[in-house]
Amino acid sequence: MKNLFLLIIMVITASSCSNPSPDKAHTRAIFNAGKLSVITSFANRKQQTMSVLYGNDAAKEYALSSYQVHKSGEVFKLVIFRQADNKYWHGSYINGKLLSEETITSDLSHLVYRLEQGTAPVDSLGQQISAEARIALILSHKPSVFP
Amino acid sequence: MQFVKQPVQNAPTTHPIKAPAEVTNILKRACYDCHSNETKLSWYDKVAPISWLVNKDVTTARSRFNFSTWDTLTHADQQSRVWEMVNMVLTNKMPLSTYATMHPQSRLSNKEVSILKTYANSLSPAKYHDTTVVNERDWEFEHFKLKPVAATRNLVAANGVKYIPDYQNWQVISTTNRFDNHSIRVVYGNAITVRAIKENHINPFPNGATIVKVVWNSIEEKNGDINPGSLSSVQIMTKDDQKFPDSKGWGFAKFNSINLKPYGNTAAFNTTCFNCHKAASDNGYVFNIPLEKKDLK
Repeated sequence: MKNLFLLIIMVITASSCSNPSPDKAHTRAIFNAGKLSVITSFANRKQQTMSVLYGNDAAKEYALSSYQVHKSGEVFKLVIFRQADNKYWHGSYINGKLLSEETITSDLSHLVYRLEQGTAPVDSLGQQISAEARIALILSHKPSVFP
Repeated sequence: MQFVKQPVQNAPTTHPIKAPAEVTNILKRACYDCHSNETKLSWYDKVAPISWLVNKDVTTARSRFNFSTWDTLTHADQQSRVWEMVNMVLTNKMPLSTYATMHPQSRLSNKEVSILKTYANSLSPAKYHDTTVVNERDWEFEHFKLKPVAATRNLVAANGVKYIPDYQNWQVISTTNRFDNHSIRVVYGNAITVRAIKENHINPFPNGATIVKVVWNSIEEKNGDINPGSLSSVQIMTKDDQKFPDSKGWGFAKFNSINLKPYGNTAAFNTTCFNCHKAASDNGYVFNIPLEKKDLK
């Protein structure tokens, strides 16, 4: 009788633990871009990177004008991830480890670059890229078409 | 003595698969008994009640794809079925474990899986700077610039799943690109989905969880760049156990091209979507959930 009681307790406990809170190794990170939305995404197979360029409404308008018509108040955020195999579908790559987060904001008449976290991409010789060059590179990406 | 049901019937092979011999040899040995009109039954497969299970499995398998009528499929359909097969084997969903126990010849060795992967890759060669996609993108971009926000739409798929214009305000849960069908994607999740992923409530996802995936045809360059081209589709998964009991609660929708044309003439298309998503059953039927921290390198 005691064993049956213990068995019932174990079954109840086991069934209530079907979705335990994840421990650290099993958590899944989701980058929070706050109020910014996606302008475009792109990847590079040789560098094994996947990137998302976010922006606020002013930034999106600037991008849609092919970066010609510039107002103040633009906020761009480029997040670069390591490209990882998507283990749930062979044939697919998915964003892996976050490598860097860079922000471009507009300050009256000029654009200000900041590395928020991680290591900024370097050039083909492994040299650091200047803030001006990073801005130019980031703002060379055409917005994705959204319906 | 066979009770009521008729045993599995074979039919002619009218449009056989055309593939290299090393590929068809594997398929014939491991897959044809269920996935073709050339089912070879052992004596025990013909005895009730085993014959009932065999009948059910073979009928289901043939409806999923049939190697004997394979060439009636479009090239794109053939290609996507091959990738689906490879993934079902890689995730140990195929061969069915119940079948493999009595039919060990249905199991594939690592070398044979490699052969099928190579074959799948050969069906999807990379085309660098595809000018068709580039031109389509440029045309769409010029029109998108003029009218960047979609007009209010009442777009609904045949199964009742509605288009959700607001998705761009949701959080991005992942970004992916596929080399099997040359696409690049951004996957958005609503607040319920994001919380479910963070709290590991994905088996199953809670009702109300909704995922929107925007798919672009990708433009691939020799230097490795993969950029979004023309819009391919906007795809939706939404969880509602009451409305979609036959697909573990998931209602699917696909709105094709920049004009967002709903895919599927009848609600039955939902089953087609779900069948492929079975390969992700360990993750609540969602392929593009973020990787776990332990898998980040």
